[in-house]
Amino acid sequence: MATIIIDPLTRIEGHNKWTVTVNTDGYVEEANSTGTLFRGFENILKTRDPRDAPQITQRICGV
Amino acid sequence: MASVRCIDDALGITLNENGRLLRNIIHGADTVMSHILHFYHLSAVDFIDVSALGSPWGPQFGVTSNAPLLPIDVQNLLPTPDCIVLNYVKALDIRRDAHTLGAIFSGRQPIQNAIVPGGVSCMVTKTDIDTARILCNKIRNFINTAYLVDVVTVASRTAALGDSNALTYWTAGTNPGHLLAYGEYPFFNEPFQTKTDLLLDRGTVAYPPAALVALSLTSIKERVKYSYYTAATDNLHPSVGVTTPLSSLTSPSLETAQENGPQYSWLKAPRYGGLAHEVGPIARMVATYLANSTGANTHTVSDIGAGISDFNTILSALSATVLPTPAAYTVQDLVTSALDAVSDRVGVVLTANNLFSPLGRHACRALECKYIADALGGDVDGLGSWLDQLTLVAATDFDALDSAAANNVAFGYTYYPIPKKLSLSGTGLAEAPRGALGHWISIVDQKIANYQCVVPTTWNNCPKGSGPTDRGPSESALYGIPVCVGNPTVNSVLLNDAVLNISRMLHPYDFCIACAVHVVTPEGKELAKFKMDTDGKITKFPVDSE
Repeated sequence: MATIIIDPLTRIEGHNKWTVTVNTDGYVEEANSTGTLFRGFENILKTRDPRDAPQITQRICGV
Repeated sequence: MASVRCIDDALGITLNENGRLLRNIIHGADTVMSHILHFYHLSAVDFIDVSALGSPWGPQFGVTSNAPLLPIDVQNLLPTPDCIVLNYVKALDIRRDAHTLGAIFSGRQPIQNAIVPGGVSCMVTKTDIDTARILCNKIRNFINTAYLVDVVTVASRTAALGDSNALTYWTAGTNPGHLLAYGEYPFFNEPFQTKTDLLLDRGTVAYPPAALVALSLTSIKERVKYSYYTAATDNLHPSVGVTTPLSSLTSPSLETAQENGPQYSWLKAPRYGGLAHEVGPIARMVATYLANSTGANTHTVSDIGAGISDFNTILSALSATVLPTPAAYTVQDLVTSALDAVSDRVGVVLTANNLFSPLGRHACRALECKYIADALGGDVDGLGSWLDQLTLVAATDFDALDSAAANNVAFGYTYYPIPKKLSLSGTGLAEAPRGALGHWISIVDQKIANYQCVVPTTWNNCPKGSGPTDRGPSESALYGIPVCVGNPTVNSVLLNDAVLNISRMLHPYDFCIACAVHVVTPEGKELAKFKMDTDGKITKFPVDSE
């Protein structure tokens, strides 16, 4: 059994960590995806003018 | 886009024709740019051995029997072939053109100024349209002669390098076998989720793809059992969703959870009807393919345009089924042609089932890129492209516009005030380049009372949901598949194979998790540091602080 940790997974937009366990035959036994950043846009928006929402949430970008 | 649509929905806004078309054009240009970026600049290196280029590319993973890489000078399958690596460089230019095309109308891409509740604050001139058309035709020509052919080449050659496992890239990773699409590019001007006449369809699909099921938004819930959020916020519908981290970022309890608790991600785990669903180009293309096959969607786009290489000539050169004549085709026609082009080379008949695979996901993205670009600059349903359908402002009308009614047809935007004292709520759905995007807003007395975003990468990259076997889509795609032949602990070659194959499985989802803000000068000097608390309060620190 091998545990392969890819941190960060490159050539994506952002930061992502993968923990994958591979058995002795080369098959994936389990895979865990970790998002390593807190986003919190929802909390920034509270009590703001609704017309701010498009300008602010766009900064999440192409997700 | 989802954000303005949730406000449009809350206020009951119907766009004017230019507002709808301009949103399609701006959003379409962004999607086309994003897809080209993803294939060439984020994914191509998974398949092509660029180690000969030296730094910053090397060292590259070893070229082994189980994870073959194409040589750096690999040429595509055209009779007069292009080098794929040179197309990687050309793609940079084309991406700039796609951004320019959108920015003519939006002011800036991809973070647009002009898309606002009520439409697009842009007045269209003939110069705008002519400039956009020239750029669009250049992009469409690149998609026909480079992007699509290179995807077919990679998809065929990777399977033809004599590796017995190579077809795995067309068959593995079917899980979770559930697709979700909100649909995109409306043919109507009313709030987006109230109607279903779309260029790319809305609904859910289960594997094997047989039927498109109508979407029920109340079936969406977000689980946080494995995410760093308080248990009280588990299993809520996004319209009443709450984003409360386990505790403040410095508290010991969060660190304890990170070390000992089941939680392992900042992403929530959205579920539709309790099941993990995959979103993205694959969901949109399969949904539309099924709607085409039942006649529920009969929309066509066209390949015509000045200076565009005839795509049927390219398909013939690839000995694939050509698109119907005259040049008007559906998603089903396009998918059939592409699968045919690859099947011929890998010696196995590929069907729509094979789209549920790493190469299938790449193929769907490439085909969708062409379909959207052709709607933008070719033709839709014989009525002209989105650019053609825009209403122009006549040069003599500028004075009249100042006093014109808000709904002036040449202006893409109508102003709607947000009423005082009222409580309103709205849902905004859109298809971002990476998949289904939903925003839920509630407004009380002109202020945002609650807001939740459920973004495509949250669907695709989420952690487990209700329990240890309720894996997120990309987790479940990896689960149980072979990533190397034998025990990866035995030698580093097998371990490299495993890492490369895991990357090949994950990259087709086109994850986007970026949202960190760094303010630096071009030389990399930090200008300031900011800390954002979980309540959204931002504090500025001196540069040299910890």
